Amino acid sequence: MGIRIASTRPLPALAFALAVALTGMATAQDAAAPPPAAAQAPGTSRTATFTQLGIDYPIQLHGIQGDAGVPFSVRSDEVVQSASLHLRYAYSPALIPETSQINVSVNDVLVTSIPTPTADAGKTLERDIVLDPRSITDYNRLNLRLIGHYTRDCEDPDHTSLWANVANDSELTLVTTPLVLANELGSLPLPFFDPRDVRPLELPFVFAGMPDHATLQSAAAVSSWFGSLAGYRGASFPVSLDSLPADGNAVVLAIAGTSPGGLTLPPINGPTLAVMTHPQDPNRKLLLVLGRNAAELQTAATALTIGTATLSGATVTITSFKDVSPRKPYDAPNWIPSDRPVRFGELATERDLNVTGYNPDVVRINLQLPPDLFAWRSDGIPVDLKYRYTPPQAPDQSRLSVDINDAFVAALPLPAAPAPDSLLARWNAKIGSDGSLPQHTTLHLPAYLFSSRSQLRFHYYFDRPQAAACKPQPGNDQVHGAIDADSTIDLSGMPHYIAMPDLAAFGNAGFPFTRTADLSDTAVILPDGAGADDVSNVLALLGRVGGSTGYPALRVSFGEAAQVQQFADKDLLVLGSKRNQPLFTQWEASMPLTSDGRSYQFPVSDWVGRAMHWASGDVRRDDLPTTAQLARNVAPGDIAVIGFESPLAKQRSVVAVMADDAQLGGLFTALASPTLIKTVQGSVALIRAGKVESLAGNSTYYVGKLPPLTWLRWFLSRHPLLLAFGSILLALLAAWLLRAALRPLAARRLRRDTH
Amino acid sequence: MTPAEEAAPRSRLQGFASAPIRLLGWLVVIAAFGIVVVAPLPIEQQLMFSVVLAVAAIWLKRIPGRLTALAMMALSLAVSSRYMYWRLTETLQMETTLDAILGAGLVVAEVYAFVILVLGYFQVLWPLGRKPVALPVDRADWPTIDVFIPTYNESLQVVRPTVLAALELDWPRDKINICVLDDGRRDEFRRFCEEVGVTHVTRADNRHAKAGNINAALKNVRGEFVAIFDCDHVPTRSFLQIAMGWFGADAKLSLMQMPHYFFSPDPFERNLHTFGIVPNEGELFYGLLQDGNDLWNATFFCGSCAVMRRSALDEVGGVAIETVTEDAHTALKMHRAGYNSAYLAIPQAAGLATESLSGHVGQRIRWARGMAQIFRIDNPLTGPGLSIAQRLCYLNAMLHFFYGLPRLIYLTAPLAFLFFGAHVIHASAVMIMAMALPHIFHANITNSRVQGRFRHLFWNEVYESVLAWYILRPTFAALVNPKLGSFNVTAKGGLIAEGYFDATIARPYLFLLMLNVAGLVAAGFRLFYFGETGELATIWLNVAWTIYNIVILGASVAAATETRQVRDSHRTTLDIPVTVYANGVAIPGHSIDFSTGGMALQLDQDSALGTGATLELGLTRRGEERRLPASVVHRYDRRMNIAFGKLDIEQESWLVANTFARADIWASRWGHHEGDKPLRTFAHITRVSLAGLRQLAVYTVKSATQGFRRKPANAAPTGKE
Repeated sequence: MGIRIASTRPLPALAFALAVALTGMATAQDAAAPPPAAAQAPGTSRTATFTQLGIDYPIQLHGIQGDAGVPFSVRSDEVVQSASLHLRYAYSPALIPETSQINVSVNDVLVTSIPTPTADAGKTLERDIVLDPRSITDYNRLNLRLIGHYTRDCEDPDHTSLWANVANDSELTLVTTPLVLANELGSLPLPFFDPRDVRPLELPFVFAGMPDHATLQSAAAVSSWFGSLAGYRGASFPVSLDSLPADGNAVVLAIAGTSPGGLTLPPINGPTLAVMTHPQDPNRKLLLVLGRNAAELQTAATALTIGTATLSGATVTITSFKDVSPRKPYDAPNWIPSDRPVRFGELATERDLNVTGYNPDVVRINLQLPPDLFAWRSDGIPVDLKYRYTPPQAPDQSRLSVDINDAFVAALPLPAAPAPDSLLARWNAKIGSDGSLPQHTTLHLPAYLFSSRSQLRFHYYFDRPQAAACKPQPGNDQVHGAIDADSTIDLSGMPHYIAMPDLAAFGNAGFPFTRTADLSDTAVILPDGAGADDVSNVLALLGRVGGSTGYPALRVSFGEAAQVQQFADKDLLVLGSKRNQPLFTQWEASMPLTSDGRSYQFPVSDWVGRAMHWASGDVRRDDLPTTAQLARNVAPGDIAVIGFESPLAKQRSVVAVMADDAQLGGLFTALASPTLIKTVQGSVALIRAGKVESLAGNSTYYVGKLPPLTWLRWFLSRHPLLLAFGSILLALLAAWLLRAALRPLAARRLRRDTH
Repeated sequence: MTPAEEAAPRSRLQGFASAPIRLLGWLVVIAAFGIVVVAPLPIEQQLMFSVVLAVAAIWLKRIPGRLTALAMMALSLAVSSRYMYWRLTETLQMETTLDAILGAGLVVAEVYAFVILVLGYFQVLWPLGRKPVALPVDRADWPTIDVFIPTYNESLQVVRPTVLAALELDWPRDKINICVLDDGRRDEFRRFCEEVGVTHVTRADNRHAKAGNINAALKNVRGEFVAIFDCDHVPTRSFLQIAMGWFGADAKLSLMQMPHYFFSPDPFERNLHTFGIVPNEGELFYGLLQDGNDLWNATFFCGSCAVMRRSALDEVGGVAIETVTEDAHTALKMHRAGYNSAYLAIPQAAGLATESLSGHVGQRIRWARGMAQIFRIDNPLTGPGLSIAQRLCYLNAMLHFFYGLPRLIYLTAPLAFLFFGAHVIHASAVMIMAMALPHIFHANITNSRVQGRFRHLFWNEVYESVLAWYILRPTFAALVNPKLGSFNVTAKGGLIAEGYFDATIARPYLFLLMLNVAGLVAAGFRLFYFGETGELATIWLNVAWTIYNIVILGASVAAATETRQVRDSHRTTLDIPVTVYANGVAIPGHSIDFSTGGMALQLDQDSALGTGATLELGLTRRGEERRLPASVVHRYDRRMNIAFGKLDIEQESWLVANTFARADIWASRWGHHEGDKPLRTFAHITRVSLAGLRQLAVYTVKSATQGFRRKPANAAPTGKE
């Protein structure tokens, strides 16, 4: 039996509609093109466990022919010199050594066949296997196959004694030498970001001195673009001021006339993009984003992020560039559009939607939903599901199971085909020419199962007919299932309305900043006297935001505490410590958590909040501890992420990242970890020593808009007392009106004829 | 508030309430009502909401006046509509077929109850409280009246007081014609009629029973009005003077109905010992519903104690003969013809209540069947001539009798879960309680306020539970085919010489009782074996419901325990001056109570009369005294019970004129119950129920040795139409 491995779906191509005109392509190659790499470079060795390669559970091989694959990839700027595999495995004592083995292959080329002597059965064994580097390409698949037999007579191919395990801490070691690439913008984002590299992206940014706000804006566009490319890998952007990192690729943002890190800039005649070889490291490249002024720098950054595909050569100067129109709310390319039904075909390739075999892979559809979908009392998210399958010969237990992440939603039976001799019945059942039976149903997916990143999973379970002894089994490739690409998921009926603060929405999707994908409603408030680390943190945060939206943060604003008033109508991302961020003092009254440097304080008494909560029926998380339950001294290295309503404007949010020093590594670790990120919730998340403590806050506010009637019902549902007293008033009014109507009627009934 | 005050059209508020403002008010009310109904609340908030409304209802209940009663109805309507909306939109996702079938039954019952609740509120929005209108001063202007007393098989003993009292009616002798419509064609009756000087009317056949009897008699008389009394409804002398005034005031008035008052306890009252304590089954109808109907010009004819305009009656072809409730149907026809009806809540006639429970049940079966027939063949919702309000009032009167199935469903619904684990409501027990309890609470407290003087809470459930099984079949049979079924006669004037348990009539609710007790046992098993599986709240909810059902069924069983009835003439309290003549001595005194056969006296002086001593009782009327022969039955100190001797017609007339026919005799006893106190009422009903269950246990033990005692032969219905 094969194992299922989370396939990493390539990022959807960035959709953009803009006119980019690139002229003046540089023709001359960089004069300082490096010589070809020395032939006998020692090479760097890299070891990854299967877990790091994405296999987060031990591999189980079952049956007479059980398969499992481990994908691995090699960066395009590296060449594999040698490769080896350290395998930890065990197998069943029932295997007959003569006819059983475990085959290891790379890209379908057999590497070795591991015998299964009975003596070692049932033990954990280790084995080093040398792989042939020549069989290794960009994207590779290491395949493990159990050929297992427990008897020489007729056997059950699914017999439970046919098993072998491969531990997921088995290691793959690659020794690589760098491959020198040409300076070519056309290959961007290579080599700065290589999709083959599943490690987190680390890309230093170089500035000539502390960047001003305009430069930061350009840097933000670039970092969020790389962040969107890096996606699940995560990205960090160390910042160097006036010095080049000693080795490795880097991005340089500079205005003409400066020389960051002693670098000699090419001539700048307008917004310029260039790739050059790292002066100190001939194997590495620098990406130059240049301009004569801040505006040109911004144009260059925009062209880099939006017009990547049109770039070529080592240097381009952008002479005319039509400005990118602002994004509309909720149109982030990575998010499921919430204004129309969305075809599955837009979310997954046809290949991903088709499966084969009796133990088929799961059809996965990644759904990144806007975090503020208002699912209150809705039936769920409607999915118009069309699917096809090879009908079983007789009615059996075959079914299609639908899950969201790991939560079960529905199991749709897969009925058998009607009798094949009845043409009419076949026609009625609409059997396709390929023998598949199309089905059509509408599902309502419970909205609460969705987080902002979810996976809709369809798993076909085909009941395998029990074969008579020694009869050949139906072939594994004879059954198929497919989810029709025309199936749709429809979010358009759901309003956008969310109770804030909700750090889960921030952690998962960068909400509320990502509401507009280009962050046009966002201002980043830097601490006073911000340094390189602060800039690096900002770039990393925006990189994460880009990872959520899939779009560069072209319109984010920057400022300091003194200028905060001019950003009153924006959502604010505030960084710093109590020392260097005056807003943390000014806004103490609004913040659910403040600190005096020694201990944390909670300006609003919590029991009041609880009482109000009960009385007013505030609907918010009540499963989190509240601030009252946290009595803590400040420890060095604490990072507090605090969400609250902006003191400057209603319905605007502030997310404050408060840390004594500018080291936010703990935060990024938490945001990158699938387990830790789930614990970032509520209105305060305190990150200390690799742990996250989330707290519900005291004051909830709501962001978004509801249709009037929905709003009224929602409002009343939270204010039962209002509803109750309203009902009483209503009754009294009705009584008064009735009396006014009935009294004359009664008088008329009691009137006597005057004759 | 008198009607005159209520009718006063201008208060300051009303002056303010100009038409546009009121229209706006109605729009607000309707819109806000919709919101209250559909606004969903999470459980905690729903509880809070409910508590506030409950407190408001309790507060409103204490404030007298029509405004607060109307407000309570509005509140109750809002809460119940809210419940029904929730019930119908969120609790019907049934998981299994069993759930679906049983659940559908419960939904039907609930929808029915809701419709009845709403129609009931509509009916009693503004009880009219009509007062009599004076007749013209000149007696020559008074119209001519035929008084009909239809009889079929009732004994002369029963009919005599009615005829004699009719003779006492205060109406010019030349303008009144009293007819005994004897479908039994009995000589005894003919002789009696000749003796007292009333017309004895017979016909050749008995087609269409009472309706046919009246129609046949109508052919022979020419009065402008017809007054109809059941043969055991003894009118007071003022009946016509009170009833007739409105006919002069309203030319289109076709019917004046007055309440039926029973001076003997009905089987419920007798068997449950509630006579005079708890308003009886009919009091709600005559005390409130007919009065409420009157506002909507929808009061209908009840077969007796009513006067009809002959011309209107002729226009609709006489008394209706298509259904077995000819009375209501006749009124419906007259309403359709554009005539008015009116109701005066002043008891001006009194009669004997149905004797035994079986007789009572038989009578209700007839009513139920007849109403179902009308519903089927002359549905008030369709057809010409009725206002919407009239249609709704008639609809309620008819739908009311379809309570059989819903009542049985309520009595068995919790068993669906306790026996089969069926979830008939798709919601958590806590949510059901949070939604349903307010619905029930408001309906009850509002009815307690509105109906309190005429119907106490929970008794309705007892009355309905007893009858549910019996009216189920006739109503549905009549719906399918209105001609099915036979005419039931109502037994009256019987005598129950010995107490007995009517196991035959009690069989359905004994069965239901057994089911519910078994349900409790099943609940015990569930608690014991499945207690951990998280349905505790559901189990307890159903247990509470089952216990309530057992209480109601216990009271029903008690109602089937026929209590011994010693006297064949029912004693009625009466305080009039009397004089006892014996041995040449006249001793003044006054009466305590009377019956047709005797009287209890309190003398002003000591006397030496012993048991068996003969005497003469002097009764004075309009300054004239007549003496009636009597003998002492029992004397204790100055208190004395006497039995009348053989009275001649003159003397009997004199006695009736001094007793039954007194104008004020019934008014003080009717409709004077205290308001309802729900908790006390429930405690009372529980006591009654426990007594019933105890009696049942005793009878069960007895029957183990002797078998259930047969119904005594002398309690067999003597019957009347």
